[in-house]
Amino acid sequence: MLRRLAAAAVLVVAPPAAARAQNIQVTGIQGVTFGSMLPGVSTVVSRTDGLRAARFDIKGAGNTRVVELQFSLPAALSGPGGATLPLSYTAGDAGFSAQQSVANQIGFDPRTAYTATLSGPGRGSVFLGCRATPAANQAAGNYSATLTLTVTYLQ
Amino acid sequence: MTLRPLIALVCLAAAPARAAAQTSGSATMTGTVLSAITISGSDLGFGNVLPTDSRRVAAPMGGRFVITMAASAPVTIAYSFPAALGPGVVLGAWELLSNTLSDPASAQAITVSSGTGSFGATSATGALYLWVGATVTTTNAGIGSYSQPITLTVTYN
Repeated sequence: MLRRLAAAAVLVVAPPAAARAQNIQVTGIQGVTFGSMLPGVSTVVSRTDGLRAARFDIKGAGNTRVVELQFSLPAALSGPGGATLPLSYTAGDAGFSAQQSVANQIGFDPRTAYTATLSGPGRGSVFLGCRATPAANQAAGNYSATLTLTVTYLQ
Repeated sequence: MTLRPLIALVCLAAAPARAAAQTSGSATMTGTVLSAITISGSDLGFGNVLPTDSRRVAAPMGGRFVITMAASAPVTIAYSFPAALGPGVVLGAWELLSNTLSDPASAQAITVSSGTGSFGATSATGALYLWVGATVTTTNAGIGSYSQPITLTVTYN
């Protein structure tokens, strides 16, 4: 009996990288909040300060958990009339928490890329503190800057 | 002879791209720089006093300080008044008035229980006026001129 030719074409299409990218979410929960500052007096915000430190929450896929964290750090806050207020960062100013807890961080240098492992469900939080140094003749007023965190899947 | 069909199994598996996927998030850093505090003052003068005498200069007619600071920012004002101008020239009964207007008549009296102390203040306009008075008591004081500084220290809370 002649069997009919059965031709099967199985197309197994894996999600392309672009589709996987949609599974990463980085949300800026809050920026660094310096509050009131005095001319000539530096203000330091610790990454462990839950109210004033910057926080980013990461929501990724559960099966790809190793990520690279890279900050884009502003060198200064911008203020009235084009005034600038210098910012500085040190080696331990950033912290990563797979538990998403400000009280349970691993410190790292925000000036360089850092490799982190997200939690099983693909979660993590990144915290940042830094120092603002107003000049003695710093113009009074409100200052701000944009802080950006880029998260890249490594595996 | 049975011709066995050709079973063509074509598996096209698009291998997962190893190129990294990435995304970014942003947040705003903020801060407010307050105005620097300035203090200017005029002297509390008792004028001519006899070697043994007592003279009071009421606060509205005494020394006057003008403080400028950030509007509506609470501050602490610490004062340090001298106990004497010299041997036999004792100061006491200090008086202190505070107002956001340059008007001692409507000023608030600040209780001064000793030569040093502090109190809180704020000003919607950023200006604050203080008046200081005291009583000098001389006892066989030597002839001459006497002076001592009055110190006010104003800090943001």
